[in-house]
Amino acid sequence: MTLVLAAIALTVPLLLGVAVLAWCRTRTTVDDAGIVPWTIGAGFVVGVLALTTLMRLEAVVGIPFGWLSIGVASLVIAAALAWHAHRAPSRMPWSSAACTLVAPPMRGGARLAWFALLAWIAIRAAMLLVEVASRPLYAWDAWSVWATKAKAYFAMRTIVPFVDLATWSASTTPAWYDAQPMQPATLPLLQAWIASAIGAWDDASVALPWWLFFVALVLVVYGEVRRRGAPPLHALVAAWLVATLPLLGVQVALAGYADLPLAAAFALGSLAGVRAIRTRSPVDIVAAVAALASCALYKSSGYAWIVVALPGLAAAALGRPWHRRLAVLVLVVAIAIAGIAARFPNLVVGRVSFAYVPVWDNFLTETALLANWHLVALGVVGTLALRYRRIADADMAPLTLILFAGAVWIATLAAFPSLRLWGADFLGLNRAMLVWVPFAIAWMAIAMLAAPVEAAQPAAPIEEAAPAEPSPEAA
Amino acid sequence: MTDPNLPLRDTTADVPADIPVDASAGDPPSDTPAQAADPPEPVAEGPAEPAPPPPPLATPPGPRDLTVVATVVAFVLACALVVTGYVAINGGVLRAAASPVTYDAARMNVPRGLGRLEGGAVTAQAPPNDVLIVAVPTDFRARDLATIAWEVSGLPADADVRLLFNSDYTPRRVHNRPLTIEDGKVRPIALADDRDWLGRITGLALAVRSPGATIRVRNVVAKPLSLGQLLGDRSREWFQEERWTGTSISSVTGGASAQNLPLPIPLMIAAIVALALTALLARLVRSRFRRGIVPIAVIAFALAWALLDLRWTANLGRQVAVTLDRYGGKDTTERALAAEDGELAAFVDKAKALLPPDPQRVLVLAQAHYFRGRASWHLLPHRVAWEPVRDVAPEPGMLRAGDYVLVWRRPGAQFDAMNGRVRFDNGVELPAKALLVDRGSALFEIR
Repeated sequence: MTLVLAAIALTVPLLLGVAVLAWCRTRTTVDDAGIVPWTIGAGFVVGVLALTTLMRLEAVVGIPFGWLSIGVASLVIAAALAWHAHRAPSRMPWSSAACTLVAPPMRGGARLAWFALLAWIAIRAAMLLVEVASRPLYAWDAWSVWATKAKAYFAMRTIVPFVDLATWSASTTPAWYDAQPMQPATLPLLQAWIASAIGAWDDASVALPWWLFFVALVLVVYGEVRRRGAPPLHALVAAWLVATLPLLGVQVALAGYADLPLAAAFALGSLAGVRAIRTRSPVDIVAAVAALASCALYKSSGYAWIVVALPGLAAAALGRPWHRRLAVLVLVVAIAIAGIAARFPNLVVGRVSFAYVPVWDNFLTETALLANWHLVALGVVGTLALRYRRIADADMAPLTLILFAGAVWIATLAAFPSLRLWGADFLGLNRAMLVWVPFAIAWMAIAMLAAPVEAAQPAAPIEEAAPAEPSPEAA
Repeated sequence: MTDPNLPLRDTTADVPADIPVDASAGDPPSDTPAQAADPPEPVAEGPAEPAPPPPPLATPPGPRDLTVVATVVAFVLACALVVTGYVAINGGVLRAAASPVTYDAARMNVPRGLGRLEGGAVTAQAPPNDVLIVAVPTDFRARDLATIAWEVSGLPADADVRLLFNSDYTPRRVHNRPLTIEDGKVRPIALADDRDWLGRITGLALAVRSPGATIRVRNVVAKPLSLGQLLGDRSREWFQEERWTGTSISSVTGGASAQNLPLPIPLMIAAIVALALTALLARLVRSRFRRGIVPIAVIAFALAWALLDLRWTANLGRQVAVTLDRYGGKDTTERALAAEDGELAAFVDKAKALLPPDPQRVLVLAQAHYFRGRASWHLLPHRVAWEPVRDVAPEPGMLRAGDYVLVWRRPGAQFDAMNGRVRFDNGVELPAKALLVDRGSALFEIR
């Protein structure tokens, strides 16, 4: 019964987010291919932000958390948006997406590969679901940083203050303490919602959103690659690569850290952000803004990933003449960081230590030799080698810049480990990689596609466009 | 130029686009748009959809494209080449001339240090000022069995560990070779190219210089350097069960904690070799490889990835079984008791029953920060504080009347029942009442 209630609770943010995006999609005609899986994946990220924003508002107003205040309110909003979207001429092509899933437009070996990869992903998702639904919170930060807040929010039915140890000692008003009281409330609020829906605290059920973040990430990568013109099998290979990343699976199985949700938000925000600047489509804009905002709202160091996305977003906005300049800018930043390391190996600015104590050996071992990422390192190097022209194309350059900026950030963390203590929440290098790798896989998959010749035109408002028929090619 | 891998052209192109990637690696952009914003042509094979247009009849179908088949064959061949190369680099042979010989603990003696046989292993302690030696008489041909693997545990990371051996070729000399320690165990040593590994080996010994260290030696195996032996050893490392630990959230090793050859390396090399072989073939027979080099690279990459992931899937499956065995079918309370800190959870449950229902200020003291953190976790939603880094007693002024202190098996907190006072090891003394005392653990209410 607990699991059933938890599953119902999980569908609330999903339905809310999907309804928001489906409603946004009615405002413009956008491509159909891949839009359904993309909307489901992106919808969860958007829905989590919407649901937790509602909870924040209720906490401010003084409405206690519960099924009525959160679940019913969210479902009413979702139903209203879904009804509006359903009545619009440009509907979400749900049925043709399902049709493509079971009867893909391919033959022979490709068809076999399609079903094999689907089965592979399904088995992985099932194993992770069993693991996460059975095991109480296990990983260290899960019960000392994140779910601590959720447990207090659930018990008090509102947001309560978390403070540092000194403040706790001196406090005369109720105040709570945990290992990182400065972390944002978004993910704890999501866990508190699950517990509120169940009516009791259950260590395993509150971890279930991590499994859904995993599914959302896989769907976003599939949908995004598909929306960029890839055939279904091509997009499914990209989704399979993401779904089978070992450390990503571990973050689901030992759920409770913010890095997996951050990876989903960063991948969605970056990919949809670049697209949104080009298409001006509300569905992309809403998804991108929500996802990038979520980066900072999931984890205090998440702002760094927004900074990482900025060069690419700027490149998309400023157009081709700026691509090279922005690439040079990122390169200059990288060289400046290396210069600081060479000239001031023990630089300290305030509380921030730039002590140059690189861990390159460890980094290379974790990235290429151990099982964390399978062959992602080879994939990125191979893509650079084989598609060196393609990655500089107009549609790819913004993504390449984001990839490059992310690599610079990770290299900075490897070169200046003290930075991790200050600005990155004691972030392990592999957990930084976790945010970057799914995006990198999407980049690899998109780089393998042929370049579009023409830049896409901004989508026309729906009122000016002819009513669109649902495409059968929408999975 | 028409790109056969453009989206949604697979049913109309003359080449089945089962590996739908751009064939024009490094070429200028295709002149056929692979648009993102433009909806593609509907070509789904769903039952309700119109049939796709037939392939153009004007162009006769060319010879069968061999990209997929050739790449798969090349990958298999590349794997074989990598294995052969690995055996050759290690000085191994394809077929072993002799079977492995195992010398178990019962046949061992401890000429230096203190040792005893217990549970099928020699437990030996190094003397304070000397070397510990665990020896075993042997008799095998050095050329046949060139790898020596000691099954030993408990070695300190800074210990100086050596293999001693003598042979009938140099009977008056004892040779010694340094051994590498990883994760408290010694790595096998290959002596095929050793100038002293000759004749019949008449004795092996393990010498450990680490004053006071206690080690357990289960056996020593002399193994041939054959293909089967090497592959078996590596496979055991790759497929050793890797269960969740405190560090799993940040790193996955991929089998044994110490590995001679991590699996991603040979598969990475195999993928590159397969790409090179197929690309060479494609250059020779262009008409059979119309999709270019990129699909070849993608297939080789995906095959290597799939093999790696099969290993990871097997490990995950075993872990899921362990998790189900431990937590399957249990409710929240039962799961908490079945967890690693079940004893602590049970104690905190008793303590929580004695606390008022409203969230109270509780300070947790325990020696290990794991237990401080876990006790706090179980105590929530009470307003719990704990020192995340150091085990320290409460500072003066930190606690006040009405606060609670939960102590979990930590020496240094003394309760004077006569006077109703609790005294901590930093000298802070407070009036208190003991609400619960249980085997070194307690719950105090500050008065």
